[in-house]
Amino acid sequence: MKKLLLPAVLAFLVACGDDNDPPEYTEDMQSLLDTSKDFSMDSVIYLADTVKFVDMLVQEVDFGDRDNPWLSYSVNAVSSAINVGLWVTPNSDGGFIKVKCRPDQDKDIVFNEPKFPATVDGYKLKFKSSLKVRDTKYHDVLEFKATDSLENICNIRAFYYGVHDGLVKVVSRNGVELSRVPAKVYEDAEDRRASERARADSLAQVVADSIAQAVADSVAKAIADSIVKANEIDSTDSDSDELLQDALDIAETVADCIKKAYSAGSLTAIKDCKI
Amino acid sequence: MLYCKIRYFACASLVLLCACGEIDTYPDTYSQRCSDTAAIDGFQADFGGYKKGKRIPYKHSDGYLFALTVTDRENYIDGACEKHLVTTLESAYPIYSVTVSGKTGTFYYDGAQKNRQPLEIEFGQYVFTVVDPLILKEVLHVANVNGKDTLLYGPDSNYIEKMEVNGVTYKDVAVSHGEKYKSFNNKYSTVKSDAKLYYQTKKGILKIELEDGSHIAINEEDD
Repeated sequence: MKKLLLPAVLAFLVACGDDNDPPEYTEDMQSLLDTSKDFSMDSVIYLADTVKFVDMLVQEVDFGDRDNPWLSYSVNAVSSAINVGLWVTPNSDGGFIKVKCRPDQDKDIVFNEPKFPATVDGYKLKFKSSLKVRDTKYHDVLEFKATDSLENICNIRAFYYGVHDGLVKVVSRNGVELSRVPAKVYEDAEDRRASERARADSLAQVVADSIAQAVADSVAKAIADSIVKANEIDSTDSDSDELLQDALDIAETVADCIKKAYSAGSLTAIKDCKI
Repeated sequence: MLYCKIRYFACASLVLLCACGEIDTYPDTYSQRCSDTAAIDGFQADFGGYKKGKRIPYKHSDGYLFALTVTDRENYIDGACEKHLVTTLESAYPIYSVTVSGKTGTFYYDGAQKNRQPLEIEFGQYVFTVVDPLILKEVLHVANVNGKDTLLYGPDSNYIEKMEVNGVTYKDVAVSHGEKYKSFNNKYSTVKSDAKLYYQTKKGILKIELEDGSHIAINEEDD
């Protein structure tokens, strides 16, 4: 009995030892794992449409190690809600590919048979040898499409992952394409917005200044008129000419004082104008 | 002798089990009681008048006209008896998503405090803490700005009596100075940012200014 028990225990231990088996994966999965040298681990990329919109994205990637390779890729836009992830996990059952296609995604999209083209619940993965995005040709691109899913949980219609470059294109739910662009496009957009804002601020300042000047002129004129009127006397009298001139001088001085005070933005200084 | 030892260990084990079992004997009065309803009242619930399906027109500073639609609004109570109200607004293009999260305890609830609970608003990698503008108006403090004593409403948020956005004037507005997630793997670490969010209790998000110089603003004039 003891002679039989020992081999049985050994057989049981061997059968339970699957965790130590080397991972198995398809050629398609292998192509996604062989590109670790092409990536800088954390890097910034840019996506833009053909009009003016451009956004910065940070991509993070991890390829595991030589004995235990895998792919963990995620990319997040700074202002928009582009949040894409791709996880390639080999195991003794053939492995699986998991896709993330929106922020706070509460349901997994998992391809348990990772041979391309692959389909699950209408979501599709397809491998393309190359894809032209604007003027650049990207090689070895994985296409993810949600167009045939019954209930698209993604906030996008499709994305394209270049195995050497990361995210190269995104298509919005209403069909607008955002393509990979160099950093200069983003920097130019920042400069353009800064100059537009400076121009708008300058225009607003000119309008504010002209309004302030018009108000100051109007107030000064009204006060000058009232001073002249208060000192109005018979113009036939020779002394009265001098008095009238004095009144006009005072009115002019007060008007200048008010203009200066108003231009300086000091309403309290107007009180000191000896009105 | 062996029989005595076995009995001794058996008794000792029983004593130990009984001692451990006392954890369950706390009187009911110590247990947490949750509210019967997950609903939240006050500023957090009133903010924006957001209801599922509501579309709010916005304009991007680069000229894009789009609408943020309330795609989700969920009330729930978590395991610690805290009430949550999470509202999500999304647009197809530009691909935007805004999450407005309110949280409050079950037991503190009274009329005065229900408007004092802030909201947290996430937009892309930016996060803003949003306080009722009328509360901000009450908490004026004096700070030295450019050598002059100036009245401010808070270090991260300011009350604004009125502001014009795309041709419409809004009263009792506030601005929140945002933060930005530092590392995308560690979403809980944030740093200061130059992003600003202007808001009003009735209309919700009025304008968001981003660090790249762009902004989105509510566009009710053409509505």
